Amino acid sequence: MSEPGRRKSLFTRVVEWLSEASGYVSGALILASMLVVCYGVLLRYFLGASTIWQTELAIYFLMFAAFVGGAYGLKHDDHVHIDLVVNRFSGRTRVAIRLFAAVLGLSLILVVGVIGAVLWWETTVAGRRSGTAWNPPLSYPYFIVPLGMGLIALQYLVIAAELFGKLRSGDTDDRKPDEAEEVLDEGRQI
Amino acid sequence: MSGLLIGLIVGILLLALLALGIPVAFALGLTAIISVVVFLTPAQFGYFSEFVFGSLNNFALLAIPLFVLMGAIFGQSQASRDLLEAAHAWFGKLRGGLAMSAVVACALFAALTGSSPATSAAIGKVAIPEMVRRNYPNGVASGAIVAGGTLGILIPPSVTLILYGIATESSIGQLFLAGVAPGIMVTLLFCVWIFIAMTLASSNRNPGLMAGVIQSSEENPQTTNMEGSPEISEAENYPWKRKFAILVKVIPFIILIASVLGALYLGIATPSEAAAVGALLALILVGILYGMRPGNIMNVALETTRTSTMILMIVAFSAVLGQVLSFLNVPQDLATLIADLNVNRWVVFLAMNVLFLVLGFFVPPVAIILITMPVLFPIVTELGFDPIWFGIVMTLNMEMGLITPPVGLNLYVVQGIAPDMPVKDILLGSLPYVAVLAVGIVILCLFPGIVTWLPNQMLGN
Repeated sequence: MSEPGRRKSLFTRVVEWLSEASGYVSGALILASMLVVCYGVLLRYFLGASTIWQTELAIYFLMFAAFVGGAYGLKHDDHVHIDLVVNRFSGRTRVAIRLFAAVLGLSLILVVGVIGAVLWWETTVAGRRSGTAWNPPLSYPYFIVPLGMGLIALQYLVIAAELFGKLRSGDTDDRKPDEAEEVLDEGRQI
Repeated sequence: MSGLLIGLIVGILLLALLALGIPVAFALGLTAIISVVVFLTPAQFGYFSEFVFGSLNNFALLAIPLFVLMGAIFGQSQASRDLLEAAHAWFGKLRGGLAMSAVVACALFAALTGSSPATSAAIGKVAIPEMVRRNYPNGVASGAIVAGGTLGILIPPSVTLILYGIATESSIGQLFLAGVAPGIMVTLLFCVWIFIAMTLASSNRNPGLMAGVIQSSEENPQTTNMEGSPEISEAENYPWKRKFAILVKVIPFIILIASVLGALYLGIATPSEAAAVGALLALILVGILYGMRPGNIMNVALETTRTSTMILMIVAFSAVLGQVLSFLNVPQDLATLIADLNVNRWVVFLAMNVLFLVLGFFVPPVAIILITMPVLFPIVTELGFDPIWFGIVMTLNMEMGLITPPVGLNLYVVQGIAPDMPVKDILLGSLPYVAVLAVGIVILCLFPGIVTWLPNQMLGN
């Protein structure tokens, strides 16, 4: 993300690698959830067997893709936002607003991450289980929220640091990739 | 403090955060946290993460990434080309036939995916260059794709309808079936408008009004002479043998669409199960018909992750905000207020639609549903509107938002496909479809049976 010529710091490279990895793992888990649900359908409708863990596991995969994949989404600027107002400003003001927005976003993620971590810790200590037929320890799924928020927070730090650097150096020509092409390329967003 | 005042303050706060350019999901989360701190006791803060976790702890939500996956698999294949060719073989002879074929191909693709810009992108990439080559007016060519793409959220599977179902606790299966007939109706209405636009363009009437429809580009000077290039006469007169040969190519897709819908209709599969099986079949089908490398599968999965995380984060944080607002009695007080106003329910209906339309200028359908429904849905049921019918009408309304600037997603998609096309032409060619959709809403208000008949036939209902 940072301009060519300036080497990325080790921290930036590590965080970006983590965000990329989170995307790959999430993508693999979406494929896995597809297979798990199909397996459940096969068992129930064609073999008449009952399913024990399929539905629950698929939901946990979904949560992982949502919360941990969020870091990958943030790195690729996928989280839909409205930049209509921000784009009315130019130069330093725009960068300053972007930085402010990033700090606000980061604070939310940190708060949710901390509360999520507390909940996870309590669940782990108490040894709570999901109470279903499969009954896995809730410690694992509850770890998804703090893990995801932690990765998103790191990615946000990198973004905020980059914006802060721009603000300080006065190099505020922050050209964004063409939004039209972005949407076209991936056909994402609903 | 009354729920209404709190609601107003929370609404303004949310708008301010959105205006700062904070991602919609996080703006919703921040609003929720601030509301808890200001209006509730700190003890209730602890619930927050249970809410965040619990909001996604829902098997129905799994349908979103899986239907997105299904669409992404088809999106990277040559399926859109075949769908367009098949539609063109059958409808190519009509005036504006290629544009109509593009709309029909969009409708078919919409039945393979739940997303609107994805539909515009998939069909547009193939259809727009073809229409430009055949001297279609810019406005007709771009408008058909911008509007056709909006069918993505109306024709099942639809991510928007899944979210409406979850937010309002309505049956997603019924919503899907309810979208079928209106989807076909809107497709027909779009085709009718293409016919009118082409007639207007060729008779060169009303040059000022129809600026977008009339040919303005230098390279394509022949507006009226559609038989200009040799490909057209050949392509538009498909012999019967070829018509059926092409049809055979799309039969696998039709079977896939029919089996997903059939499974829902017969009540033998939940939408999430249908999505999982549909995605797996799509993978196999595309693998056999077009070939797919393992690398492609990972790319498709990554693309799915990017869309899904964006939607699901909004789901998670909007659910939290919804809970907080409910604690604060906001929806309850608003519903009471509207009920006490004693105005005709259609006035309230109109007001809501204006609200959706205005929101649609700025935020995507996903966000509109998740922001408004927790607050407004009690009013909808209070006034005696059928929840399923309301969901479809609301979807038609949000389709308009995909066409209108400044944040009409489909406009950006078409602009990306045809960067040389003047933005004015795209806009003028697309905006009439907003009126067409409004006509669609009026028809659904007059004949609600179009929406409700099929879901009422659903087995196991």
